Amino acid sequence: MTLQNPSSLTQNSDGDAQEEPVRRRGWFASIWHSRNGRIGIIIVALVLIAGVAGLAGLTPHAPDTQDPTQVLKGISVSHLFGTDQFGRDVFSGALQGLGVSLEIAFLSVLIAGAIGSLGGIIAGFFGKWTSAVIMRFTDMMFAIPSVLFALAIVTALGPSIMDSAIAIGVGWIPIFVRVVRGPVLALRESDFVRAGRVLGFSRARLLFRHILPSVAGVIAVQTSLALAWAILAEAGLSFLGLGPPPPVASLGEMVSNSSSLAGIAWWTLVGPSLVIVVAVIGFNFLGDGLRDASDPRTRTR
Amino acid sequence: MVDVALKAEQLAKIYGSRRAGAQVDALSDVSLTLTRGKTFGVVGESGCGKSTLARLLVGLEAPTSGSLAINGEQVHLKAKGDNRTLARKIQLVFQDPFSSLDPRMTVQRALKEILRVHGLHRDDLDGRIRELLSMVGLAARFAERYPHELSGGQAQRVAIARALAVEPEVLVLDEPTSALDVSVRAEIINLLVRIQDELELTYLFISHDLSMVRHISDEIAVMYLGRVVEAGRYDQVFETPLHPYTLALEQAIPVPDPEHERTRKVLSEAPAHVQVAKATAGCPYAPRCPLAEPICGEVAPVLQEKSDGHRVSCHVALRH
Repeated sequence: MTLQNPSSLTQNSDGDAQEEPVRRRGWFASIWHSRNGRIGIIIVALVLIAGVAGLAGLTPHAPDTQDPTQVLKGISVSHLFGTDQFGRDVFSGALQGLGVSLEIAFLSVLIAGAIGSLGGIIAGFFGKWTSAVIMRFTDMMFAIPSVLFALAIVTALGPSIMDSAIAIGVGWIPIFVRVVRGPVLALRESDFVRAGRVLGFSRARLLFRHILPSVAGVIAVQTSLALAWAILAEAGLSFLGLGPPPPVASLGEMVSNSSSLAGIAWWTLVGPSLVIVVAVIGFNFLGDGLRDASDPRTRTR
Repeated sequence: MVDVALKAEQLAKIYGSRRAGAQVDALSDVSLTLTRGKTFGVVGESGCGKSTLARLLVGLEAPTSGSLAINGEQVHLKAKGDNRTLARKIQLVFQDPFSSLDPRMTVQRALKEILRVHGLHRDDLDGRIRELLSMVGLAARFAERYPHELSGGQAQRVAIARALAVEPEVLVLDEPTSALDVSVRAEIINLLVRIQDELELTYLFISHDLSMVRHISDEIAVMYLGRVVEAGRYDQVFETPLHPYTLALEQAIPVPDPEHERTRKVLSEAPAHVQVAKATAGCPYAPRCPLAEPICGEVAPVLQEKSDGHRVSCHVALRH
């Protein structure tokens, strides 16, 4: 409520009140405004640049060039993460591996986010039966351990980047369905959606112009968290030997390959692991920042 | 000849399935006639079905039975699908202005959307929006605001402007002031009265507050457990209340006089089972009624005219 002096009580106190002009922030600025969001943006930007550089071949050394004179060298300026048993630069390998991991993560989250969000919106907005069918289906998917599920898919489809993405993405679909359905369900019964119905708006308009923008924040947060999880899941799959086949090596494969070397050349294990940790932390921070920014009330100073 | 804007006949709404046996008669046999340009007040405590009545009239829910005519034209009330035709005739102002406005839309965008959907004022959308805002006493700069950047009173003004955007003939006001600060209530009421005069609107004003309804209404219906128990011109209902429930409501209005305050009787809470149970054979008010007689527990009274349009549904009142 605006503060009002007693003399204005009898008059129109709403229209004439002297107020500061309203200042608002855009999306990026409001993510940047939260501390977590700022950390997330910086880390994710660095991770993305590194990953793209790795895929584009812009690495300090060629990742797969073997140099017999530089076998198992420790950390140095020229080899930030040292070299492995074939004299390959671990840092360059990790950059390329990061690129591959990101590619799989983005593809899998695209699959999960698109299918899961759509499922969640439909389950939330449309009637009892549609909702029941979708929700029982997600219950079924929840009942299967996701790693087991991914294993089955990769075994059936054979290892490749796309298949890893499908294997990881499918496991996350029910989570998107659940997370999106809740707010849609609540919004459908909210006064402003009811007001829209009274005003004669079509169901499509209510769904896409009023409900969807309100759950976009939830979807964005979930996407960011899913990316972090997908990088981990991919590393897990690759560690089990179900990642994309050589010559491309993802971060998980590098960790897997170097585990036997860890006793004599710890850097071959620590380097790729560190990259995984940094990427996962970055996306988690970004998710927090998105959550803070997705509420329009926090966007006004 | 009276100019009738809205006529509802025998509206009823039953919630719950027949099979489960857990039915609730939210509304039974409610008939209303709204005169054009006048205000019809509906009062009753929470759970009496007044909000259900509002939802049925604006098409948010379909009635179990009954019919509705606006301007003599029969309206087919269905709960699903688009009802753009109905929207142009009747609009609803919600109790809580903040939750009834889309938090992600500025006032400008929200109003523009309505005009676009209904194809109104295509050639001068911005001009019409300024006009709507000035109609509810808001400066044009408020068009750029988001709902959370408005005060309660301002938000309710926007909600009223939004309802007026489709140029309806009947406005259903579901407790439009009870979520507001006491100091702005009177402003909103005055605004509603002024708009009614300017646009010849017909109001259905719903409230639990008899004193509020008294100020604004030409005719009044008192509801109890989904039924109209008393109806008539406002002076009839207030000066010579017939139903014991109306009398109790009236006595519940606080009077700024400590002597009076000491002697007044306060209405007891309704027994919980009475509110949810399916209507029993007798009068629904009988369990709380100080005048209840044996017949009240056996035969349900019917709304009957006592004198010159003043109707009541009470065995005792009708006899005297």
